Amino acid sequence: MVEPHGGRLVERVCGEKTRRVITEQAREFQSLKINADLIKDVKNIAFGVFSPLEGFQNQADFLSVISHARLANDVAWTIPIVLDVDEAFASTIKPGDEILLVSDDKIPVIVAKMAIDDKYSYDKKPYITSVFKTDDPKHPGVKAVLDKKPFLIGGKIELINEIKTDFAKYNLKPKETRFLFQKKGWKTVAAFQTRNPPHLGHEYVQKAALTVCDGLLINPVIGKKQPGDFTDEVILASYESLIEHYYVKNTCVLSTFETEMHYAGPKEAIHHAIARKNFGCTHFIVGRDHAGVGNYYGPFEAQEIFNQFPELGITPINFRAFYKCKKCGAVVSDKICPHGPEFQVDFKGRVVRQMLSEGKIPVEEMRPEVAETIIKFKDKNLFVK
Amino acid sequence: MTGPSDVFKDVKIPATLYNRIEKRLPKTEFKSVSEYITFLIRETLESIEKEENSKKKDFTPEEEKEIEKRLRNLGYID
Repeated sequence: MVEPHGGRLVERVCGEKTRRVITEQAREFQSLKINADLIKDVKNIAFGVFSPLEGFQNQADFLSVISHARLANDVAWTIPIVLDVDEAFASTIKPGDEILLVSDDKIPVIVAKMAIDDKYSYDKKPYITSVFKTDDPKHPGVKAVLDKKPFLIGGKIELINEIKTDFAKYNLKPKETRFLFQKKGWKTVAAFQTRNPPHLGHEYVQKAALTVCDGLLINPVIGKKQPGDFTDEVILASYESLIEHYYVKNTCVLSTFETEMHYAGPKEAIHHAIARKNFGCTHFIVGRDHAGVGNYYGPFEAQEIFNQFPELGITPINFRAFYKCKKCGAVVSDKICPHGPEFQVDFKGRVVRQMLSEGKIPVEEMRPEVAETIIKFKDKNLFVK
Repeated sequence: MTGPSDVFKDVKIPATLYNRIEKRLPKTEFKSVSEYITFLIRETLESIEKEENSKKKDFTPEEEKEIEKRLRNLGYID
């Protein structure tokens, strides 16, 4: 079994007794409201998806990540995992204090306890340029950092209550995926990240990885989406259909990765690979422009960056391009197909989406069973509104 | 902010070893001896730490029971 990042799978979940005591004494703690994205960070820290992090990053780790893409202890880490607060809140706390992180719902739920070990101001410019390689405020990740409050607080967290999403059934923790892979006897596992229902190109990539690995973890990113994106429900149902009809039994696990997308391209590809390593995967499929947005990154930058992290402990499986070749009569990649662009038919997401929303099966691009599953959502919640 | 003295530290190595690494440098993608040595040390440390950690057990028997029960309930194990 691949070892967790940093050598130890973190678990920061309090026991029942502690939970009861903290709940009873909640009024004695200072509390900070956190949004859904931060709650995901808390859960990912608590259950070890972000191992070796045990809490939000302190200044030493934060500065090391933005200047070296490594934590202060030299372990590779590319995306700051930080908790921002305004000046008013910052002025009321000091290192050594314990605070409660609560959901920003109408009736707040205690999510975690945090032991503050650091409070610091930060310069957004180096943060942004280091992580996103651009300071364009139109970049969604840059904008998110620009919108952050002016202080960061660092310190270990302890999960008090797990706020579950509608898809809790699919949200396996690293301990569970690791156990499952062992139980299945998989020595090598390839992780596939997705934010869309599967077309034939995705299936080709996954099955190519499966020919060299014992198992496949299909790991859709569940979280905040843009209007017009397929809903999480549709993505999960479509994959259930594909697995049922087109995958050999016991070669594939479908489980979600609940996280905020930063659209940081290459830096985020490393971050995503680390999370999958913590889930127990040995390989990570990296496609063209992984975690990119617009034209901010070169098409293969997210693959090339892995050369800078030879000790990462998870092997990238790079795919340059895949398409249908009329001459081969199959889905192929540029590595195995010698024919020219005149024979290539690209997968056009826009056309597929249009057809599905009209109740038509895009036979050239998608398995009929998968398309039929998606079409069932046509009058309900096919796309994010 | 962290200053350069916190970011890099000096280490002494035998001149012969330095020369040997410097000689190899043009055959690599590294821009400097320091960069090359950093890479080599990270790789070596990683494999030492991996070896140490491989002796640890992944789950306690209680954890195994609990996880198996949950995965069975969720339908991941028959």
